[in-house]
Amino acid sequence: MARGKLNLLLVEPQWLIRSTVVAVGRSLDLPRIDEAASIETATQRLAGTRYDGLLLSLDEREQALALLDKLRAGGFACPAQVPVVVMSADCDIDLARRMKQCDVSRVLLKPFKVKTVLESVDGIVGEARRRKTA
Amino acid sequence: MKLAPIPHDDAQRLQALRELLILDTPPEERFDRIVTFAAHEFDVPIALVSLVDRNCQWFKSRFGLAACETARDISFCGHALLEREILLIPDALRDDRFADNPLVVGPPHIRFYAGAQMVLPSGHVVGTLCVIDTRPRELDPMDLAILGSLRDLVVQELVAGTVPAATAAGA
Repeated sequence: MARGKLNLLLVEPQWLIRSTVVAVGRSLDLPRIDEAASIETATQRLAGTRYDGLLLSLDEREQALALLDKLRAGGFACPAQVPVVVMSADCDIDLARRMKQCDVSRVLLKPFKVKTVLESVDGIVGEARRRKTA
Repeated sequence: MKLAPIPHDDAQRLQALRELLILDTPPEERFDRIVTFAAHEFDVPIALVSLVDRNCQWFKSRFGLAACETARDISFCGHALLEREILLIPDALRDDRFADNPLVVGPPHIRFYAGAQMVLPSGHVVGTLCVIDTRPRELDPMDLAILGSLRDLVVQELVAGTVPAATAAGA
């Protein structure tokens, strides 16, 4: 599966999930996955790096949604329409509507398996490629 | 049943294990959270950090198993020590090495075993992070990579807990 040189950002406060996703991504030659433990760190990374996709935990709900709004408004170094997968402990109607408005590709409900996150990377890669060639 | 073989460098391996100063120490959250995570990730009833001592395998961390040690000669992890890759036993009843093993024909009735070797920077294999099920299973390459990555985190913790001899002497 050719993936080119795509670069994703994983924003996830839980160290075990973050470390395992990044390490497995490296060992399986998935796209490069940078990590951020907080929205603050993610904001800094997004300001300086042109990412091709985002895996975003909503553990810091309000800050994460603000980051997503800023991303879609073109406020970071990457294109505004990069694919985004969101990870959340819950998803009510309001959040689902908000995710749809923000063009979120997928919502992963916690607790999930690391494997599910890694499989969603494939979806991001396909979508990133489609958006690049569109 | 094939008894767990003894590596040719077992004396040095045991010395490296002893120098970790971890045998017979109490449970620690830093290991328990990785083991619990592994059990949930793979949907298995048992997950262990197993350290293979001279005559037994001792569990630094265990999920789903009451025993804190078992005999080395019947241990699956004892076999894993000599493997280069993760030891994967999809169905112990169909494997001549384990079909009549007491841990297979009796409690905890192991059918599936995957053990990722914990290799110290010195090259010595001190044990495994293993996941065990009572039904036959398969793991795909991504599963194996996840188990290997979790194993690496355990090794990091093992090594981080050691005090270099020079530092200890100078303290």
